[in-house]
Order: sequence, then C-alpha cells, then structure tokens
Amino acid sequence: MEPEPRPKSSPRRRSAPVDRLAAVRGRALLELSALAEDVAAHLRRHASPTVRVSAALLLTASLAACASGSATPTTSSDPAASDGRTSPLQGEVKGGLPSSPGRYPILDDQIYRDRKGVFEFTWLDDQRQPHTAYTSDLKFAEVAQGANTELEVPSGGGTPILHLPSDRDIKLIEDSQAAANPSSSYVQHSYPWTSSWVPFAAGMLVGNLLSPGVPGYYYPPPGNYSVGQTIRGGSVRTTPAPPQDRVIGLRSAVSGQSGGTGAGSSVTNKLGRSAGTGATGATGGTGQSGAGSATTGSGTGVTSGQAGGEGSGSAVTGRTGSSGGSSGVTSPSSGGFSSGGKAGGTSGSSSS
Amino acid sequence: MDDLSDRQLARLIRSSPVLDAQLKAYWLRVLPHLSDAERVRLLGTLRSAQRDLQGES
Repeated sequence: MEPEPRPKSSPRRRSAPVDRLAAVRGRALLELSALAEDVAAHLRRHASPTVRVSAALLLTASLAACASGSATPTTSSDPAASDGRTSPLQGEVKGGLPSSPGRYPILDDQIYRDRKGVFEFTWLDDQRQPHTAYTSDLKFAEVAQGANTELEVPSGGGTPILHLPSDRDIKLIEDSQAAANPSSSYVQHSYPWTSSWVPFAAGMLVGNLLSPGVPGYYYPPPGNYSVGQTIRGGSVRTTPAPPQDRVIGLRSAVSGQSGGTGAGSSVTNKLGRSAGTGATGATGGTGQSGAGSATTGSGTGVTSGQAGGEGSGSAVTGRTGSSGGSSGVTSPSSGGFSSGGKAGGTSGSSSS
Repeated sequence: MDDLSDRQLARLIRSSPVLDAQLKAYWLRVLPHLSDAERVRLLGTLRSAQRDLQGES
C-alpha cells in the first residue's frame, strides 16, 4: 500500500499570532493608560481647552481599551456588541439579593447597569458586611440629594426598589460579571466603566402618572453611548419594558457630538488611581437640550419619555434634539417577560 | 533625542499595531504637549510592543 501523498507544504507549528498580539496589546495598553493618566494630570490645567479635552479623552479611551483588553475598543466578548446589536435578556435574572424584607444600605460608587439592563450593586447587611447582588428587575425611587442610597426589599416578594438620590449616577458597563458568575463567592470589583447615567432628570416626571418618589422602572434613552458621557433621564414606566427596549450600546468611539457637559465623574483605572477628570464633552455637539415633552402613556403602562431634560444635553449619539427630548418608550401591550404589563399600570405596583 | 521629536513619535504612533485609530488620534493630539519624560515613556512602550511583535518569527 502506497503511503498517502504528503501535502506540498507542511506549515510549521507556531504560536497563535492572534493570542500573541492580544498579549502584547494588553501589556502596552496598560502602560499607555498609566502614561495617559499622568499626561491628563498635567494637561488638565493647560490654557487651551482643546488640549484639556484631548487629554481627558485620551485617558478615558485608554482605560476603555484596557478594559476591553484590546487595542480595538469596539471588540468585546460579545461580537454583537461591536456593531451595536447586543442580544437582549431571555428572562429576568437576579442573584445575591437580601432574603429578608427591609431596607439595606448600598455602596454609592458601586452601582452598575450593563448593556442588557442588569444592575449590579453592593448592599450591606446588619453587620455592615458587603454582599454583591445583581438583578434585571429593579425599580427606582427618587429621594432627596444627600439622602442615603438604599435597597428596599418589599415584603411579599415584590420587585426590589433602589432608593436613589436625585443627583446620583449609575455607571454603565458592558456586562455584569456578577450575573455572568452567579456563585455566592463572587465579590464585586471596581469596573473600569465607560459612561454614567443619572436616571432622574428635571422635568422628567412632569405630567406623568408617577409622582416624585414613587417607584418606577427607569431606563436610559436607547442609543450608543461613548466613553465619558453622562446620560441624564430616559423613560420611566410602571411595568417592565420589553427586553429589547432595555438594551443600550456602549462604544468607545467618541461620536464627536458629545454635547452636554459629561463632566463631573472621576475615572478610576485598573491601577486603582483616580484620574479625577472625565471627558468634558464640550465639543459643541448636538446633544439634546431643552425641557422636552413628557408623553403620558394611555393605558400602556408607559408614563413618560424624556432625555436630557435639564437643558445640558444628554449627549445621546445621533439625536438632534430639536424638541429637546425624545419620546419615551412606547410599550406594547406586553412588557418585560411576563404575559403582559398591566394596562395603565398602577403607580408603585410591582410587576410580575 | 532625535527619536523624541514630534515627527518620529508621530510616525511610531501611526504605525503602532497596538493602538486603534481612536487612540492614535488622541495621542497625536497631545503629542506636542508631552514632557520629555512622557515622550521617553511613550517611545519605550511603543518600541517595546513593536519589538515583541516583530521578534516572534
């Protein structure tokens, strides 16, 4: 029997070039992000605003690139995310929540929301011991500035409520690691976050069925957010939104239309050092401004929709904001994952 | 010291395989304002990355 003919070329075994490139990139990006931090620190007081902005943007982009572990920040573990198509949740997820009804303190600087709408935060028990929890089913209730952030677990097993001061922001991240690692031993770490969201915007509840302080389901405006943006407002409902309506995009590419202030958030990199500068976003973009209009839902459980209600611009990419606001999410008759949101919704009612 | 000139560093930045287009743009914008020490660090990191990638063959 004749041996099988050998292939004309037998490629030598070599290390995967992609893996090597990723390793080299990772090391270089880490060094460059540390350098970017020093550069931003000494350029933050430069006379030219363009230089100051460039330094701040360099820092946030460097940290984001580190976070994604790649030199191409739009690449992520979820391929769908690179082109903005994040697959929505298939069902409500939760874990690590308190088992007993009551109110629990929350660590303010560790409240996160990922692209799909999963919230992650750390709550303290009676002994002030921290516990990491995650949930996609969460209501917000606005409390006064300066008040404590607390998680309320209602008796009877209703939707947990996050009592959040009106000026508090939530960090937007790509994917909740707590939800990806639903084991009791998971300990929350500090995410190198990309943007932040302030759910409560002035004027957002005008004309709505919800009164200030009454719990509701809050959602950031749909869109793709860039590094360093601060998004204000969005929509609020009395029933959970459909999963596809909860998805937001997070992109490192700056749209160039960042509008608004986008400032006031410190960036903490993986080295644990706070840069103290956020992207100022003051490039005169087309972020939304003005009060906008709040649309009262008619029997659909949607109560309002407004983005950028404070007139400073919500910096939502692609929005022209001619009316100063976008309409809220109009809900189909069914919301969330249940068989249907109740028509009209009842303020404060917990959804199934 | 010649390597630390804006021109040389800009060339390194543009040709670096570890930086995407956005990071390249930002580094190029702040380049004229970097201190000597920062330039040295930038040069070192970019060259080291290039060497690591080219040296594997």
